[in-house]
Amino acid sequence: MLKHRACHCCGMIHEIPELQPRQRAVCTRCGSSYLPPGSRQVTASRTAAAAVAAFVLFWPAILCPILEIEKLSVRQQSSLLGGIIELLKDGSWLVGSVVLLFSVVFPLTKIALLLELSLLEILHRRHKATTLRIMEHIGKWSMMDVMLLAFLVMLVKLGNLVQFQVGPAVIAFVLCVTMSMVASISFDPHTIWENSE
Amino acid sequence: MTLPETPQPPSASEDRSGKSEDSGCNSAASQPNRAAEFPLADVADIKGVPSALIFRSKMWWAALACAVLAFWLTWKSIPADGPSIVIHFPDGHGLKVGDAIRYRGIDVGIVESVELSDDLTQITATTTLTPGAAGLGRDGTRFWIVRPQLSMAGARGLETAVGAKYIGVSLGNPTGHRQSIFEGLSTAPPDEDGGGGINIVLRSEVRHGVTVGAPVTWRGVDVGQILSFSLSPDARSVDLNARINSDFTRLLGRESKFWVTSGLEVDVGLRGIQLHADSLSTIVRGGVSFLTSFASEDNEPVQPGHLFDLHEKLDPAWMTAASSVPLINFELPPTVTIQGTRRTSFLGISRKQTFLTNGLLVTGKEGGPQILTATDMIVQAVPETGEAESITPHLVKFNIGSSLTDSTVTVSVNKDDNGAETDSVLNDDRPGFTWLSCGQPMGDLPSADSKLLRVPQQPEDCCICRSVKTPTKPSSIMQMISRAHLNVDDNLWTVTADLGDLTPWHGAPVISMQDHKVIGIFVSGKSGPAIAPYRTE
Repeated sequence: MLKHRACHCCGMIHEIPELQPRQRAVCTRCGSSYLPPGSRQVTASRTAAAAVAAFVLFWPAILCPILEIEKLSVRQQSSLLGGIIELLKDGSWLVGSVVLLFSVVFPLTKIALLLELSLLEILHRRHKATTLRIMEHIGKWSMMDVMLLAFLVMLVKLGNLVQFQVGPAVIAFVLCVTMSMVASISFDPHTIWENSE
Repeated sequence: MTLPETPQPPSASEDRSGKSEDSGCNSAASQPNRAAEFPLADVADIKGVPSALIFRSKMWWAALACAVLAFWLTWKSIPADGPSIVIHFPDGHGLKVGDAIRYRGIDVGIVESVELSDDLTQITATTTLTPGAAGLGRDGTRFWIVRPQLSMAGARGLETAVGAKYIGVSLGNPTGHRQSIFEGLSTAPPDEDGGGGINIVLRSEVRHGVTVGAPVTWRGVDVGQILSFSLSPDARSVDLNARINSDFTRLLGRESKFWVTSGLEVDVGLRGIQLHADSLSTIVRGGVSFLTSFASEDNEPVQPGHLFDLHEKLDPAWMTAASSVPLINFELPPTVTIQGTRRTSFLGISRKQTFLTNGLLVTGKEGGPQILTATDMIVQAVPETGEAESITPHLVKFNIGSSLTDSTVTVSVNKDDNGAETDSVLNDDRPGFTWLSCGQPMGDLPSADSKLLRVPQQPEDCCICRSVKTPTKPSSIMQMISRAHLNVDDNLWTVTADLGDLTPWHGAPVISMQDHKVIGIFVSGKSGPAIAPYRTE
């Protein structure tokens, strides 16, 4: 096993002594404990599971009807992707592409990269590093949750003017957001290095 | 992997180490300068193969649940599509994709696309019906685009002035062949509700200002509509196609006289000016009225498409002929009102209930008059224990010794605690009143009455009649019940039309309009009005 490890909290490098069962290594500076190597794999597994769930739910979330709007007896069912296509067709390029990027492309990329990082161990770690960096950057811009907030605002604001009904995609959407959040929270970049060393 | 091998200074920060390290699992050996600063790391095998990584966490169960949910959501949101129907319209009137097809006030389909036809003469609307409304795609079904229409005669489709247009549907023939391509109408048909009624043709020399949708009236009551008009084949007269609604087809006879009630009639004379008009609506739209004299014995019903002459004016002789002859050209059977008291004793407390019901006077086998009525009032009193009331269509036969002079019979029934009859005697002042039998099945119809009674096979147009007391002499009143308003429900035909309170008609005989025979007994129970037809066991 590797002997020297940086504390994940303060970054101080320690030499890890041989540990008996039911013992743990603790940082001398900040007092945080070093995770035993096995537990990292559990975290990675959890990340992978959540990422898989988010990936599976992502498709119904964007393809199934998300809103049913009835305005002056006109009934319209639209999915997220359908709405974006409608926006682009109408010529609202800016709004359409912003929504497309931030609520479809970036979240999907983030989920896919999380999946890759947590599942595909065959990747070389230099690739993993690149992937991690991309994921960290893209993750900032993946704004599915903001989209959900927009729906909520619409429901509250337009409730009296327009008749609303949320479609089945909303359930998928909410769960997808939750799952991708769980995945990114439980994702521990240290696993990448641990397994390959 | 293809990065050039650049020597790293020893001061390289820790967080960049991942990038600077070389390929391979046991790569530590290729970094000698690093090994100088920190102890050499152990060489370890890759422990986590992907398969070992999977199912290490309980989160996988959540992932599985999510996958199932995703599948279910997708399955649910795949719309169960009904048949696709293509409708050609001469004018689109602003119909858009997503607009609805509405039948009887609810959405039964959606417009999928609206396109111009190849020859640019009409539009083609492709629609999808809901699965439940698939039966609308039949030969004879009419489609039209509902749009606001405002005229002196009335307003239609006003909701489409602000909201979206929709396609209206009228089912012509519920048993027609399935069809998927239709020719839409340019305007809403005047007879939107469709179905039923008799279409007739009225021939007249000129149109007399009668418009499509104008009412056909019987003594001022709307009983039908003008559907369309056209020139007769020789162009010498005008043919008006009219429809008499199903409830009023009985008013039509071969001797029916039609005349125009359009417009205003102005009489200018020495006494001043007199204005005659049927109604405001007929001034604007025109109208046709008719009367039928049922004097002739010809009882044959009018066939659809029958041609009548449309007269310009009402001949007063028709009015007198029509009013002198009753609509029912047969004699109503003798009916009686049964006024009774029912003495019941429950837990030793005796109670007296009065009831009023109707009956039919018939001649029994033995020769004496009998009364047919619903048994529940007289024989089976309402159970005191609160059990569900049952209406038995059996007939009660009373043996009446003397002929009745009054139309009211008084009876009294005694019941004991168990609801069983102890003493059911007609307590009439007149002598000779005895029970003959009660609750007998219909198969046991008195043979002498076969001329009066008949066992019906299915609901038919009928009327119920009962006696009413008038200061001068007893007389009968009747109430028509159309076959269309009868619903076969087990042994009873329930009356679906709202004909007001029919409770006083309980026990009244039901007379067929076809052969004027009594075909059952009217009952008005807790479950609503119904007809108990005679049955053979």
